Amino acid sequence: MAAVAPTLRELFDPDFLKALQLFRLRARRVAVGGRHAEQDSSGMGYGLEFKDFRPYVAGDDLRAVDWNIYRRLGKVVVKVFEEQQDLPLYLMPDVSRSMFLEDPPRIHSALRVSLALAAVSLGQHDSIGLFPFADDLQVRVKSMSGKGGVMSFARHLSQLEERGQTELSTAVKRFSDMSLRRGLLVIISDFFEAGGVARVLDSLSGCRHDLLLIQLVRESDAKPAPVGDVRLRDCETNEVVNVSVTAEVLNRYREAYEDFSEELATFARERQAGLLRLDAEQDVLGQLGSLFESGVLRI
Amino acid sequence: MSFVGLSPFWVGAGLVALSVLLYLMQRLRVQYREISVATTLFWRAAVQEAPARVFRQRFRHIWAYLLILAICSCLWIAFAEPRWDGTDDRERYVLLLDGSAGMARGDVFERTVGQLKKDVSSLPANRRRVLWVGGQVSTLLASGEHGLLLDRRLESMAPEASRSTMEKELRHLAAVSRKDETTTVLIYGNSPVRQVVLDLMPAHYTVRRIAQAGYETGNSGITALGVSEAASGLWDRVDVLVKLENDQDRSLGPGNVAIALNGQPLEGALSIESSDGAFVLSDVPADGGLLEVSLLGDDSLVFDNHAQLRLPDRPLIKVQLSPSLSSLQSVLSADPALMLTDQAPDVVIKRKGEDIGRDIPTLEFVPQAEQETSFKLIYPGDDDSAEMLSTAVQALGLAQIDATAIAGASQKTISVSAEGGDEWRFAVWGELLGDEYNFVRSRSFPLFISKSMRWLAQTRKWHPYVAAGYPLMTRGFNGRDVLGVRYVPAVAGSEEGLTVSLLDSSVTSGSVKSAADLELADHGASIDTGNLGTALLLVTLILLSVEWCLYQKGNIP
Repeated sequence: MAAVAPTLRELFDPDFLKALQLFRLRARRVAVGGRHAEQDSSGMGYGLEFKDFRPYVAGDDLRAVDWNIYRRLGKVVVKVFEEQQDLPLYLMPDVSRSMFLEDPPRIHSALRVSLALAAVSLGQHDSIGLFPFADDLQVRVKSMSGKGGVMSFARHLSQLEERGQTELSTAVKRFSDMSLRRGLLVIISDFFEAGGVARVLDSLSGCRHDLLLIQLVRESDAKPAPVGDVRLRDCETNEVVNVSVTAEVLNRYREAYEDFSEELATFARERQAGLLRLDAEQDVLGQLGSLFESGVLRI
Repeated sequence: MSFVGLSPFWVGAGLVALSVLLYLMQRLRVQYREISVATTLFWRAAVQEAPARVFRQRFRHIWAYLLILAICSCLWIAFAEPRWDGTDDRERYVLLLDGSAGMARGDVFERTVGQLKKDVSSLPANRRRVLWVGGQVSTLLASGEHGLLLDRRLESMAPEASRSTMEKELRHLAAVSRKDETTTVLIYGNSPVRQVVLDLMPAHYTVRRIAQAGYETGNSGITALGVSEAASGLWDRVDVLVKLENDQDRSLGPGNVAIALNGQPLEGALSIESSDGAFVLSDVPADGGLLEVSLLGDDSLVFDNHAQLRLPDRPLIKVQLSPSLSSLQSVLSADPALMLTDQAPDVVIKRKGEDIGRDIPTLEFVPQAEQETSFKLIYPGDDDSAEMLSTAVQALGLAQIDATAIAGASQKTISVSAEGGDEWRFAVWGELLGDEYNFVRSRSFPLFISKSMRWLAQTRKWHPYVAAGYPLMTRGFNGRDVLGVRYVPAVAGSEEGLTVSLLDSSVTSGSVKSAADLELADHGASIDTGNLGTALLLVTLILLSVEWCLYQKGNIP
């Protein structure tokens, strides 16, 4: 029997959210075109950080004119400041059937880490979006900002339901087609797509957003428990594989799983994307600590 | 169903069947255990080169097959308990443990029990049973019961002071035998069995004896203790016969025993006659006392060293004689069993109409005109009058009367009748006392009077001897012995008002006339499969552990 997503009460844990206040999410440079916020952007304009001087042109704000230079040199120049804007954070949690299988189900960790990242972003005036996916992409929250939005976002998370099979490649393609402002795309999934991980990575390579891949794993993925003659039924595709489990078969299984993991890690390294392997059977907060080095995650 | 005690053929057949069955199971379609998993992505890759077993595929798991075959074979052999002696699978065993007095000699019983336990453990549980054959026969271990129960049940068992009932039990087994069951009867003990008893056994029954070496001899015992009326004629005295025997050629006599009456030594004022170990104690007081005879010294068997007997209680019969019949006084005085008295008489002699001895047994002389028959018996109760009459004619000595002479002299028919009434009364024609009948002067008259007094007084019954396990013999008021249907208790002692002694010559001497020589059984006839079964179960346990480890490691499917 499949598990259900955690309730709002289970998800909106005050202690959990309080602990997240120590974390910060810092982008090297965000794309211009957003709202004023705390992230450094490539744009020049009004901000707190002085950047340069330039000659006055008609239309410039008179408050930016440096009157001291005008008094000494008689030239009218204006001060230019580095513009600080928000970082769009796009969360794509996997809600396929495999995320709801086993005990505890991976969806519990997926939702908690989604909430954690959302709370950190909202706390630093960034905007967030929620795009759960399974065999298709859903747009639950396109853009949300403000510290007060944590509760609302948690409610959205608690309402997520189990859907079909994992089609991450399709979901990424649809997401790319949405022409959203460049930001950080966080994919939270087991990455078990029937077509293989190569197809997923192909679709991700064309994505123009920064990437953070959070792979939900458990010990039995690498060391499966079944022994003897077993009929393994894929919970998403209902595909059946008859296996007489022997040491030889187990070795080959481990090799296949290691290839999968290595492929994912190589992609992340080459794409300069972040990759976090999160154990679904362990506490989420403790594992996030390793992601936010000194409390700050730099992307 | 149990497979206990199968022959090697069937054990081998079972092994072959098991191996074939397991082989087929290895080759037949696998019964998969279905498990739902998050993805089959990696399993598909893993099984590409090693697909799962399918119907009638190549035989791949030879070691798994051999392991499961070894486990099943061990279990099969452990439960089948094969017998390698070629005996019939249906053969039954009846083990009879002798619990009679003869087994109390030395340590014969302990050694016999030890042998019995050993043999029981080697026989298949569902085809053997153990019976205790002591004073009574009881089941010690029923078919199918575990052998350990025998140890506990034997803890409270010891030889009893009883004669052997082995022959009786063999007769019983013969009576209830079933034609389709070959049965071996093993006798554990030394009770002799006569050939005539063995001849009764069915053809499919074999009787053998588990003999115990070192049968201890040197036993003496009391084999007879009986009482009879005193040869001296004294009414209140009896003669007692004592017989001593031993299993050697040693002569025994009165000097070898201590005799006590009511706990006091019986002194030698009594005359003693001795021959062949038997002697008679003459004129012992018949007052209902307890006579005890004990053998002096110790020997190998204690049960026959002591015997006791309750003597008859024969007080003098008190007779009240009517003054009108004083002519009978001399006859009555001549009888030592009678005592003339007017105080609390037991019997009254009177003429009809005299007012003495009311409600007391009476010899009454009635006028001929008032009684149709010459002699008329009236007895309380409603017993069969014909039987009572027949008994009384003997008891009263009427058969010895010269009835023809009396009839000739009186020109009357002499007849006897009996009928039920309220009291004991013997009515006789008074005219018979007259001279014309010549009855009084006949030699049978004193006898007639004496016996009439005894019959009317209803003197108490007594037992000439009381031997354990024998029918109870009773001597009644009429002097006849009656061998009743009641049996004396099988074990010596005091029970149900009887004082019982062993008194068995075969126990004392250890032999019996015409005893058969039984074939001695070979103890090692059957293989001890108990330990083999335990060992095989242990091996099975180890193999199962190995299989579990291999299964957990994924080395076998």
